[in-house]
Amino acid sequence: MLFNSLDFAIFLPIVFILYWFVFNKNLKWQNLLVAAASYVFYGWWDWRFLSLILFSTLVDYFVGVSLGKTEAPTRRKVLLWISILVNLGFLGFFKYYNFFLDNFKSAFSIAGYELNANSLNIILPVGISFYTFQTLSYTIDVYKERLEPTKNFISFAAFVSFFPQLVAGPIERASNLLPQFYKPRKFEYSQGVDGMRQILWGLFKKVVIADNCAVYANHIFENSADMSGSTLALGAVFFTFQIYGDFSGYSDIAIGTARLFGFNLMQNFASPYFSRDIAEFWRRWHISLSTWFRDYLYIPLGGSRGGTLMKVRNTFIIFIVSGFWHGANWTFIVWGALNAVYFLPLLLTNKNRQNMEVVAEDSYLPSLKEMGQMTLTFGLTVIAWVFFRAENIGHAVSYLGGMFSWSFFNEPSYSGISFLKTLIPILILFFTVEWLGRRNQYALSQGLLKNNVLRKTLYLTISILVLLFYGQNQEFIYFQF
Amino acid sequence: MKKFLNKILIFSIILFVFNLVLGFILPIRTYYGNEMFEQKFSSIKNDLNDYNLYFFGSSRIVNGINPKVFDSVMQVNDRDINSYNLGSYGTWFNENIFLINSILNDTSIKDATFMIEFQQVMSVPWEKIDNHKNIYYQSSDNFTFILNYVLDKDIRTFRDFLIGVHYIFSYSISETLNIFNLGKLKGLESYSHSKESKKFDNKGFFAIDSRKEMNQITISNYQSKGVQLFQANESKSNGAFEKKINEIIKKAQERNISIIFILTPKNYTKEMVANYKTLPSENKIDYEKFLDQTSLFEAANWGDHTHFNFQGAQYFTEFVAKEFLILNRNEASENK
Repeated sequence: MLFNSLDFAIFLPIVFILYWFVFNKNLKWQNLLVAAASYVFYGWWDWRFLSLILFSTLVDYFVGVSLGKTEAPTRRKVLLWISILVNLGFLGFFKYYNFFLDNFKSAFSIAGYELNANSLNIILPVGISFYTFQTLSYTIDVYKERLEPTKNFISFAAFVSFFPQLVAGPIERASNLLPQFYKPRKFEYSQGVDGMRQILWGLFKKVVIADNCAVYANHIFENSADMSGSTLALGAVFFTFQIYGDFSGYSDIAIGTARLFGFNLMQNFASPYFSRDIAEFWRRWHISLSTWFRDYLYIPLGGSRGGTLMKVRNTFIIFIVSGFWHGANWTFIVWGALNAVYFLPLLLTNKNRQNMEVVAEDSYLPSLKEMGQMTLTFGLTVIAWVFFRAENIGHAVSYLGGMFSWSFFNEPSYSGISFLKTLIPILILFFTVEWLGRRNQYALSQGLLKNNVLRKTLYLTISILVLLFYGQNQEFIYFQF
Repeated sequence: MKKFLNKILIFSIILFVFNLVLGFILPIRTYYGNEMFEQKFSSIKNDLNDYNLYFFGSSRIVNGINPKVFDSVMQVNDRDINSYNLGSYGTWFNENIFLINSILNDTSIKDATFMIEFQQVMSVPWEKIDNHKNIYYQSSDNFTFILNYVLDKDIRTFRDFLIGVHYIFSYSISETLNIFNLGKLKGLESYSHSKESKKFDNKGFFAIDSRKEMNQITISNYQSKGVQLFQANESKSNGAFEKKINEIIKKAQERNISIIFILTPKNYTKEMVANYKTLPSENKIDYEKFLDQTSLFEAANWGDHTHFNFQGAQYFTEFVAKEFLILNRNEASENK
């Protein structure tokens, strides 16, 4: 079920009413409702893959319970590996099988051997990378004794399948989300209103910003061979806005929806395009994934301790694995590697933690220096996104080649350019709200405007724009990951 | 909780009122939800009076009526007809009525003939309910028609009752989405972004190839079941439907436009057959002759199980053209 669909617009109030008016007396029933609703939510897309979630849930639940009962290191290690192999096994099969097979076949054929194995027609289960990482975090934390294993299966099943963040995050840590299922929840007015506000802003980002930018980005990327450098640059910038609107919009709707049910999810985006360097960008972009890799991969590898070579190795590993997590394509790997290249100079000169606070913390506008830094960082991310969006490496290289040609200085030419007149004021509104709300958990949160009338006019305008731009169930990009 | 729900309710009401007002102000293109119709209409809107016969309907018309064949039959019979196929994919009865009404209201077309695919009224499937294609033609008039249509439906079983409820439910949602202007700013966009390329010739026709093995039994059933249904007299027609048809016929007559309904081969319902029988004879092609056309029910003439291929379109168009000539002759003799 998509957040931006009529199905969800009906599903959400039904679950909300049942949750607060029918099952509100009994925590167990409330959690059971959350689990059941989550299975309906996921099964709406393809019920067959519910078995994967259920299997993953059962394995990790029993691994957790068993870890709680044993002190023997070898047995504990075996249990951990069972969980890792099952979860990554599913992920590896559904997401990476064909990729590895095709690459092995190519490698063998270069060496003069023909490998007789056929690619499989595998459907990638929506959100598998997200819930797999979420359950893995539980087993690893229990193994490391950072978390008590749960004996409450219903709460655990609800935690794994929690519908607001099941298919595209934020990837929650068991230590944050699971305990919330143990405590009775009480509806709080401020939390409910805040949730609705965040849902509204998420819908705006997805429906108005991302889906409109997608029209331009798709057209330009699909016909890149015929476009001038300036048009290609415009296409890359549109994709930059599309991916942000799409993914951070989803996160906002997820976090807002969770709030309606009395849950607090972690922040996933913090105005990443106002970053002054790449390190800051990665502290602000897809925070739940970045911190997951930091805690479960980078730090166990040694992190930034050790010699220069070790730092370089770990940085490349984390960025490349992060890229590969997004999809089984060399474009994602290059995207990750490119970000590592951007990041390394900062790490090696110990400047990766120099911009910890939000830009222009105490002023309305950034300084000229900050403007320059933000523009440079934005430019670098735009270039990297070309790899993320391109069909293959060749496409990305020819796209960038075309972009950095003399025609970069020509006026962009594109048949739908006239519609930009409608889109530009909306992008300005979006940019203004994002800038003014850069200190908040999400841009539209209550602190944005003090004046009540202005604030409500803004909500009304945004709601109207969401309705007017509603497009027929445009999928979220991150569903494919 | 009460405060929260009140706030949501008040906000929704304000939003509703604003959208209601916006609906009148926004410069939305009339046919924005039907890309194919819009493309066809745009390509001829400056030459509307060059044509004197238009076809309307769904993909069965798009793929089944070749105006070049129609015009050539007319030419052989010394009739000066220049026809255009305004059929568009997935266009149902209500939408067709909207399109014809819009054309009658917004253009200067007169002294012409509209040949319209005869269709039954359908409810909106859930998966299509928020499509622009389904929203753009909704109106309070359409909703009133649906209400009357359901109230006048021959409801005999609980299943019939549920079907009736689904009609009202689906159209009330569609009309609400229309009032909330759902997706209408997309209607301001140029269709140059469109994924769907222009797929029709300069007379609005598009031929399909035979895409898969045709099952002769399925196709023959259209004919045999059709004959059975037309011979039986067990269903009552729908008064609201009849009224709607008569309204459009009358409105067209004011501009000297005659309306002729044509059947296309498919599975019919009892109600549809009963409704067809109530049409005035000068406004329809005789179903008995239609069901007699064996060539129309030969699998070799079909592209898939619902549409003719090029050859089938040739036969179907020739049949419609000949029947049109007969209707015209009858009318002429009656006038004498």
